[in-house]
Amino acid sequence: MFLKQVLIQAMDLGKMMLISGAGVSRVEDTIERICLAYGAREVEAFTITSSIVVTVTTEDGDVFTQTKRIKYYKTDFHKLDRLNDLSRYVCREKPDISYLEEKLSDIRQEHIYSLPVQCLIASLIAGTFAVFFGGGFVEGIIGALCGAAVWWLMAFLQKLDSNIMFSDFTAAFMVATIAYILAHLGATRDYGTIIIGNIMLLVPGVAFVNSIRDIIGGDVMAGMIRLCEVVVTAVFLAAGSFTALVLWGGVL
Amino acid sequence: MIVQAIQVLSSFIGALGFSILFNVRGKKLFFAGLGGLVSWTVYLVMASLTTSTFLPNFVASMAATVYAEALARLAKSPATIFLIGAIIPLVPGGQLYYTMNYAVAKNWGLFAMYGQRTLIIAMAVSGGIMMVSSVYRLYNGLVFSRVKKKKQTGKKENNPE
Repeated sequence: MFLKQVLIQAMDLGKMMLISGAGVSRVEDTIERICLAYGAREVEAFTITSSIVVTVTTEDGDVFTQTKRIKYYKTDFHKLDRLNDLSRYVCREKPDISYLEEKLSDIRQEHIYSLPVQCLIASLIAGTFAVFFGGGFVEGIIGALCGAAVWWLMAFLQKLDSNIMFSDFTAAFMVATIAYILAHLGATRDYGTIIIGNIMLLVPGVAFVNSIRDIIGGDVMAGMIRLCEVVVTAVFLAAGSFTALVLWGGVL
Repeated sequence: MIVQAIQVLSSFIGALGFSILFNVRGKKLFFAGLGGLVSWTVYLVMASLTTSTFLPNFVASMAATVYAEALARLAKSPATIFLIGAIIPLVPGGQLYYTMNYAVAKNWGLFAMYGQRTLIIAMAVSGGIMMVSSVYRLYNGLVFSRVKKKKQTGKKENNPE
């Protein structure tokens, strides 16, 4: 029965790690280590990007299995760092299991940046990359404004529970529309760099890096699923701006 | 030269921005941003030496991964935290846009060229990460197997169960 409690907490920790942006093999490894540290005889952990399955066998031969479904991701490296430290500490010191529970709820409640601040950071990123890809000062400013608008739109669409592909398509469409119209009005000649800056903001960098690292770690299936997500997202981003440019190019 | 300086500076700010957005904190934030600068500097140096598309991206992504893995070891954090910032400037967002743009213009020759380039860069970057990560895993395996052996012998002595 004690191991059941351990399993529940370990899986909570694993799920939070996966959502915060950890690779699959790290999640499996962490859950296995924690369960073994508390005296499990055997641990079998299986994780893909959308699900975790763990079976624990106790010394007496009892078997417990639990599964978790992951429906969304929210990259938060500070959380990931704290969870990592926590799991390390737990495996080393083996504190009472209620300590782990307490710490987990503590980490769960930690604040993230509010939406306006996030928009501000997003505008910094989009503006910077507009300049990085050859835009001037004006393009940087317009790119930054678009970046803030895009982030707000994404947050709004996510709240309405729309699927991520549609959000990406809409965001890219909106950016290309604003950039094209501003260029048409004569505010800028080079609307391309504005769009690129915002595409960089929306490109799923974390998923890309994690998918490669998953494949390296031997989790080819999990890696491939995530890589497909990346490719599809990139295609939708391109399709969104393509549609906007074709549409407005025909109208204006 | 001024273009390169602006690129290096903005790669730093861009990587820093992503790291803030992904909630990296404290000292790690600075080093996560610095990763972008490192990888783009390596890219620029390599790009000035060769005309290939593949090689500069490959080497830059290898440098980024070495940087991230080394820092991860020092900071005792997952390498992903530092790797994201370092890889971001290498992501072929610009090429993706030009591919799309030439499809709009119905210029299929340039469309194919930029489409190819996008894929090549994506492969070069992932190849770079793969190479270095694999070598690191080998190294880790060597170190850990030694530690494990020590621990097992230690366990037998200390643990009465």
